[in-house]
Amino acid sequence: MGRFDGKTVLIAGCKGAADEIAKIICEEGGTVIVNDPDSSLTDAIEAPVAEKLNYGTSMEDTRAMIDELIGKWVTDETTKQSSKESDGKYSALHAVIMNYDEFEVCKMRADQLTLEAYNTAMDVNVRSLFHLFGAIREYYRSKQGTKEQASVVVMTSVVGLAGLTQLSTLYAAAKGAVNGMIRSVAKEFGRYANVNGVSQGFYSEKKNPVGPKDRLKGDYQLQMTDRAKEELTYNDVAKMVAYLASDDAHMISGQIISVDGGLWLRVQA
Amino acid sequence: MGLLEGKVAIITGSGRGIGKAIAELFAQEGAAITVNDIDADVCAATAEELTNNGFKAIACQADVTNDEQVKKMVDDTVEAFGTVDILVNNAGITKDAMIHKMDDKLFDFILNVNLLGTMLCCKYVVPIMKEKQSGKIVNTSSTTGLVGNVGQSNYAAAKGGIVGFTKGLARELGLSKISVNAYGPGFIETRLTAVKAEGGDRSALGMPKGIHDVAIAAIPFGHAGQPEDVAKAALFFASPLSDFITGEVISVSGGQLV
Repeated sequence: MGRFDGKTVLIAGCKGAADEIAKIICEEGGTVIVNDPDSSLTDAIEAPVAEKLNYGTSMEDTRAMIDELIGKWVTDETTKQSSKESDGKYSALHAVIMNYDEFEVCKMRADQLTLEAYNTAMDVNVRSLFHLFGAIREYYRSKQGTKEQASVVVMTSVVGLAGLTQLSTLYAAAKGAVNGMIRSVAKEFGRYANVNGVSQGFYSEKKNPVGPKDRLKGDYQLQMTDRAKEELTYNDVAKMVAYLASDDAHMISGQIISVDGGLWLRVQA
Repeated sequence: MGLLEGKVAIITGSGRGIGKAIAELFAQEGAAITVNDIDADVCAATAEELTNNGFKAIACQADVTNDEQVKKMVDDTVEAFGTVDILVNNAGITKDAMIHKMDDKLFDFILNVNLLGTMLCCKYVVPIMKEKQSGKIVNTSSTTGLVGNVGQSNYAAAKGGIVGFTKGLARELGLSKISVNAYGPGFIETRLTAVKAEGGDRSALGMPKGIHDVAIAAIPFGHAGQPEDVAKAALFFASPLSDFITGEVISVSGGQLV
């Protein structure tokens, strides 16, 4: 029997480890729905997912996606009870994995910051999560007092904890913002859902930074870990995500767990 | 001789509250101060108070989320005092709501004032400091950015973002001998944490008495901090006392995070 038998999981954002996460959850009996505004990314998902959606990340689009999946839920402010106003395609949504990510637009020095880059970085990395948290809250709140604790797993980065990658103070700010939001929403959702983060280390494509030689040398030394000669793989990260999305992790909340081969241990400040 | 003798400091949001306490302390330690605030009246009043007390100060009204106004503030500082040695990104604001009741406007307002404002001020000060190969940047995070708080997902995002930004910038500017650190105030007595009048305007700054009292009870010291307590942490990071420290975030919270 798999950890996700009878469970429905939404993976929002199809870059990076999304496919590996979907594969693990599907193999363990789960029904997986993936969403990304970019259809080429959803098309590239090889896991046998139930649906590939292409909703945007605005508040309206995100709410429309959640309404389509599990119906529209509202909370009566007097009784504090959540109820369903309309039906969705699925009877439940047990876990949401928030994987929206934008790194490329962030590649600039601090004194080169543009409002356009800032807004794109925040839209994709931060505001998308804010919209998802808001959209699922009413449904998740209906789980209060039941044994059906729901889960949220947010993909974040060691850069948000330690500011590592060169020329990306904007990415560090965005992922730091994600980390702050994880902890706050974990407190807000505490009675009905656990909220955790997975801080990813560097995959091979991010191991080619540019910048002054001295700094790159220093950066390389910083990034050396006991596991430095092995590549961090999406599968390494996906296993932690699947664990946090499963019932096995129901007493874990507000954590940001690093899967980075020990990098955070070396660079934490 | 003061710890900041001959230095030039820009302190954003220094018309009142914690920022004003920082401006006063830095002036007493010998720095020339650019007082900044979005509110022109309090900005001018604080600068005037400093000059009346014999300190060097100018008022630069600016919205820290406005690229052009921030640039002008830095330009005006250089014109008045010749350079910038210290930047304290203190300007900030809170406005709380549970996440499902928060709209884009409220989320962005808090994210931008606190996080974008910090990043824009750094954008224009960094080239000056890089040219000199020295400088001190002090950012303001919060205990909320470090451990979260119910009803403050917007503020936690902004202040958590400042933690990431501080560490990233510290690494980026390390070879230029510019230090970048942050402090995270806990519960400090300002207009943002003052008890609201019962039955008063719900949108007014401040917090309900019940929440205020619970917050105080969570502090091991048993009382709220004062703006002057935070100013001392800012002084440490702005002064030679912290010359070999960069990328750090310390909590100024009376033990709240112990």
